Amino acid sequence: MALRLMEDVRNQDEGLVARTLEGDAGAFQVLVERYQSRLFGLVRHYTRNPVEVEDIVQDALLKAYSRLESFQRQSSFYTWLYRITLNTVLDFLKRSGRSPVQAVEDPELVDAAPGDPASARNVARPEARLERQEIAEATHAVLAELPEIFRTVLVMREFEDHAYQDIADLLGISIGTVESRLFRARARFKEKLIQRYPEIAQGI
Amino acid sequence: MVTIMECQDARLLILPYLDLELTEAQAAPLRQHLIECRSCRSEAQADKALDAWFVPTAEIQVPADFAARVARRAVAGDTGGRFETAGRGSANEVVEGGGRILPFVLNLTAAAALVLFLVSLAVKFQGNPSGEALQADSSNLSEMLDELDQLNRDQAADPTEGVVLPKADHDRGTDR
Repeated sequence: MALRLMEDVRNQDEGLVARTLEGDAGAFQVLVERYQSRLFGLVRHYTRNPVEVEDIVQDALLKAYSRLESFQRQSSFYTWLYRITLNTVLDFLKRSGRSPVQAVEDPELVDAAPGDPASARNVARPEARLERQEIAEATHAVLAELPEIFRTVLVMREFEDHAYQDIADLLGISIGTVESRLFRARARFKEKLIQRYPEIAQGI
Repeated sequence: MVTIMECQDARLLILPYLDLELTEAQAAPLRQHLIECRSCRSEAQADKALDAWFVPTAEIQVPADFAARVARRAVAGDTGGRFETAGRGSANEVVEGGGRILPFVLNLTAAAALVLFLVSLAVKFQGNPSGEALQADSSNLSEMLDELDQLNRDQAADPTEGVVLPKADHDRGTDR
C-alpha cells in the first residue's frame, strides 16, 4: 500500500516535471507547494534565521527549475530536490563562514572504537525542568559546532527519520559509511554537549 | 539459535539496533548479549537517552505566497546560485555530475574540431603549387629551340667546340 502511494507520488511528480518543461509555470508552482514545508524543515536545522531559511530554499528551487532538464528520473524528484537544497545549504554555510566543513572524516574519531573514551562518555536525558524549546536550542547550538558531514547525517537520521539506505542514497555513500558517520557523529555530539552544557548534560 | 557475541561487536550494533536498522538475525544475538552484559546494556541506555535531545524545533512558517513568488522568479529567468562559491562545486555539479561542465566541454570540443579542420585544409593546399605556377612559360620557346638547333649544327660541324677539356692536373692523376 505504502509502495503504491510512493509510486503514485513519483508518477505525479514526473507529470508535473514534464509539464514544467513544456512551459507550464503553474505545474512548477504545484511542485514547490508540495515540498516547500519539508525543505524549510531541512534548512532550519542549519540556520534559525527565517529570512535566511527562505532565501536558501528559494535559491535551491530556482536552481532546480533552471536545471530541470538534467533531472534524469533515476531518483525521485524529491530526492533530487533534497540534494540540491542540501548542497545550497552547504554553499550558504561556507560562504557565510559558519561551516566547520571537513572534507575527510574527523581524524580525531576515525579510530575511535566502541569503548574508547570518546564514545563511552554518557549523556543524561535533558532535565525535566528544561523547556522543549531550550532543549532544541541547546541541541542546535551543539549541532552547529559539528563538522558538516556529522551534522548532516544527524539531521537526516534524528530529525528527518531517514532510514540508513535513504541517507546513503541521498548522500551518495555506502550504508557502512552511514553507520560509521552516525556512530562518530553521536560520539562527537555527546562530547560537545557535555563541554557546552556540563550542568545539564552530564550523566548521573 | 543465539550466537555468543563479544562486547566489541555488540557496541557496533547498538546504534543500528536502536535505529531499527538490524535484521532479526542480527538483532537476536545482540538482545541476548544486552540481557547478559551490564556494561553494554548501560551503553545502550545512554545511546537511547541521547534521542531525547533531538526534539523537533518550532516550525518556520512558509510564507503564503512563497510558491507563486518562486515560480514567477523562475519563469523570469532567475537561475539561483547566489551562495555558490568558486572553490567548491555548485549544487548541480555535485548532484548531476557536470550539469555545467558538459556544455562547456562540448562547445570546446566543437571549437577544437573546427580549428583542426581549417588547419588540415591549410596544410593540404600549402603543399600544392597554385594553378598559375603550373603554367609553362612559353613566351620565348621558339627562340630557345632555334638556338638549340644552331648549337647542334655547330657541334656536328666541329665536335671539339663547346666541350670543356680536363685540366692538366687531372691528367696527372694517372701517375699515381
